[in-house]
Amino acid sequence: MSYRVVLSIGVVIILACSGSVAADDYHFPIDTINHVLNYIDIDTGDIAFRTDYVDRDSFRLKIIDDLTLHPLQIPDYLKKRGDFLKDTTISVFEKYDTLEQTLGRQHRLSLLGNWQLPPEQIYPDARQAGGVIGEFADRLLKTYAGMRFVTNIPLTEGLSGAESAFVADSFLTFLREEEKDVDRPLDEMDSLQKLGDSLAIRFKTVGPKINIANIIDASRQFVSDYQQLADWLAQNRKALQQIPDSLLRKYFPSFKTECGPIVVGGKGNDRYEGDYAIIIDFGGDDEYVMSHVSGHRFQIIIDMDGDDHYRAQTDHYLGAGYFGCGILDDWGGDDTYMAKNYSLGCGIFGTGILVDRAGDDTYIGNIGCQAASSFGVGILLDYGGRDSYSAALYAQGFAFIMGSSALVDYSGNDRYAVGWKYGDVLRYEDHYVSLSQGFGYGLRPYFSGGVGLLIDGEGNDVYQSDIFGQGASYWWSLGGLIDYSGNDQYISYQYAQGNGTHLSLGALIDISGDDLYSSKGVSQGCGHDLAFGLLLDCAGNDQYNAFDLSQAAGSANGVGMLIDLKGDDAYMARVKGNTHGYGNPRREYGSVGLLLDLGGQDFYRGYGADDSYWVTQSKWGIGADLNSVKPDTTKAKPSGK
Amino acid sequence: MVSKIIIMVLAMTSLAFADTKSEVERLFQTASSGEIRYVKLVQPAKDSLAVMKDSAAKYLVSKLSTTDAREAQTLTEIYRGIGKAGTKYLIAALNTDDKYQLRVTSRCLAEVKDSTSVDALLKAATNSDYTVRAEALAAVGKSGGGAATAARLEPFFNDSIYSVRKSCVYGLGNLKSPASLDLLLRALGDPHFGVRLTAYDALVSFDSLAREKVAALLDTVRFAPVTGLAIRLAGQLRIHQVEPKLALYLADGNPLLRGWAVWSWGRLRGKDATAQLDELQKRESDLFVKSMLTDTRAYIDTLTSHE
Repeated sequence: MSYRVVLSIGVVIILACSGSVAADDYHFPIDTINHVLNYIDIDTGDIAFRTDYVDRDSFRLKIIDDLTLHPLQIPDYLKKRGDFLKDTTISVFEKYDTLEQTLGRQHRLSLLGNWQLPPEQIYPDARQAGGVIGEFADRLLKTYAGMRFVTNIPLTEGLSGAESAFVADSFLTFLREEEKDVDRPLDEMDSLQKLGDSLAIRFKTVGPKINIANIIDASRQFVSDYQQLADWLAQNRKALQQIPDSLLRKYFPSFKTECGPIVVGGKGNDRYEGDYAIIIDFGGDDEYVMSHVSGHRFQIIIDMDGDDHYRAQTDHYLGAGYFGCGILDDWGGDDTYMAKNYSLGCGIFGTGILVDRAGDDTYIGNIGCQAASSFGVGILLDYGGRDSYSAALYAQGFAFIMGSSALVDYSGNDRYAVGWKYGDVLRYEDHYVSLSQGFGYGLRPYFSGGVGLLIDGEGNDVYQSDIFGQGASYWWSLGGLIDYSGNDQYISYQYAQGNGTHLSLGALIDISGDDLYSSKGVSQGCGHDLAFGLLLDCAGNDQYNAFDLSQAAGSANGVGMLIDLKGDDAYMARVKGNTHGYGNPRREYGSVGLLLDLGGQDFYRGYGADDSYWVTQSKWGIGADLNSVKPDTTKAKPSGK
Repeated sequence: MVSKIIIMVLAMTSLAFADTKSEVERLFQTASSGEIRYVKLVQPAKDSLAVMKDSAAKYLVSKLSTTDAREAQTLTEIYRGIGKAGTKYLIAALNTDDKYQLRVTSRCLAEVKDSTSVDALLKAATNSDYTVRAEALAAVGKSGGGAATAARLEPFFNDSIYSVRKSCVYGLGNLKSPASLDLLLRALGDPHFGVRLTAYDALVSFDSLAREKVAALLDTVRFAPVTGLAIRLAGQLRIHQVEPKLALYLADGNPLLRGWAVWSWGRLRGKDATAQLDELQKRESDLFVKSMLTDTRAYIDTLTSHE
């Protein structure tokens, strides 16, 4: 064996190993956490919550229960999920599949092969023409046949007519806000509250009858069909784009079907207006002016190139599924997406997927958009470019009841902003609710929430929210934000940046970069009311700014942790008494706060100090800045209950 | 001044209403409003309901089954203001299977602090729902009754759910019956930190009554979590008789015990500990113990010469 062979084998082994070893700075120092907690007579086995503090509703996700019992598994869970979702070699369908599995419902398909050819003769001339034109026509026929099939799956099976109408009319009131709420008189707000309660109580009876398996089956089948079509188009992109527009018009005229029109557009600048079942556009700077037509529940738009402008004139459009599934896949160009409510990767009783594969893009929506879901899956995948995301509420990786959502932006310097429209009538006269940016939300006290994720790969990003956001959650749900690299800015006001509120789980993980975190309170590793909040920053010189009840604060029997592994950091807290490893009492016992800094020369304004431990005068909190000092191996107490 | 005027206006408005029930409803709607716009009206509404005493108490019981957290909190605050005039209505409200009502009513009784409610609360504490048991037991502890109540509370420490044991321990801390000390010391080794640390607080509340038992514990037990807490209690309760034992822990191989021994040593010896702590600081290598030395020196520096 020559040295070259040996060298080659060595290189292969090294490459293989490098592929399996974590290529980033992520680490969750569970042993050190245990070590430090031991000093206040707590161990990692104590960091657990019960799953039965309140009556279990029908929609509690198994993963929420599992992580409620073991909240210290959240970082690894999120990291694994993030690694998978931001892997560009993994298909959209596989990503959908993993998010769907979060819902914990067994899909019963394969339905493939069960569908029948539609009665309409779709593009017969094209199919007879053979070659890429014929194959393309066959693909469209197959996709349409699949669409007809899933359209006929009874998504409201199990509900009476009245119950179906109730769900259709009432469910979205749980996800609706009005700007005029801030001006309503007290009795009117009280009446609205009572109305909301009565709707929730009725939904407790009606909701469990919804055939979620059918909803999932339909989405799954449709996403699978889309994936096959998209894969074929990608393989034949060059050949397809060489077809002259005149031939396209001849072979693929607009075709009306019972699911909506099927349209094929050429490389020119096209304008689409109305409602469509399938649009395949080969290029050009196109304009889409879309309006949802009742009864059309499934849709695929694939645009191969150009700086496109998408505008939805109604809710539930542009990569949105409402009792159905909508997929929008744009392959290139600097695009603009302007939508209303429940859009841009929103699945409610269904699935919504928006994929943008290149370009500097702008996403604008209102409520329930940019990866949002309930009783379904919401996905927004942006593969690159300098992007801007803005919305008003419930957006950017938001999951409500039985929802699983992920906004994944692979690279580019991005800006995420949510809020500044709907006033926070409960807390402040001059702040606005956001509930976004990796946010899980349940309807207290009736229904558990879902799993909402915001994952950003590379780039120097800015995240802006106001009240509730940035790896946060409310009521039996999980919200996670993972940013892999870049010098990022996280700006919010309250309930943010690794916060769980009221029996829920929230985490913000930033893996590298020199980052800035700024929030007023109940933030930066804060769990409030039997909830868990974690802010984990793995590397970089970071600055943390807060006013109170933040930076490792446990409140009302919650657990809050702020863990920074490397870098020269600054921790600035205005109120020393409830930050930097703090717990307060409720229900006759305390909460847990842990601040841990494991490297660098750090600056503290507040309780902490570089190169030291500190036990705060609270129930119960501790901090440790261990720098280069290795934790000793004290066996302070046995773990486990 | 402004709030007094608002209370007067609300009270006068109340008089103008012939239907007390409607007035209670109206005031409760205001009192339980969570909106920032009405925040100035909330406390006066609660106060108005509190001064209505019996007439408010009897109507508000219909609200006790609420599932709304803010309404539940509002009720506890109002009944706190109403005081013992509300006890009979609250005790009657415990006669239900509705666990929301049982929980909220227990919470209200905990605020009223009337020992005549102990029997009814202890009955509620046998409920199959552990959250009801926990609330009821916490209320028992706050309702008083001394050693007799403590004796009836102790059996609940055998509950398998930590929050029930925690409420039991908390109650025993409130009731301060010396007979409960052995149980509280046992609770320092409970599997759940909430129980352990609540037991610690309960023992602190016993103050001098607990000194003998804690000292004995330090003499007989060498088990890290219990010993660690006992060392802390020695300083917290100023148990000077354990100083020789504590001095040994200043050189213990376990930094947790050594660190907390430093903490207690400073509290027991005050300024007299200064020289010894400074000496320890010179040779200590463990960061936790060093931090405790620094913290304790800072504490001693705050003491006046006679402390």
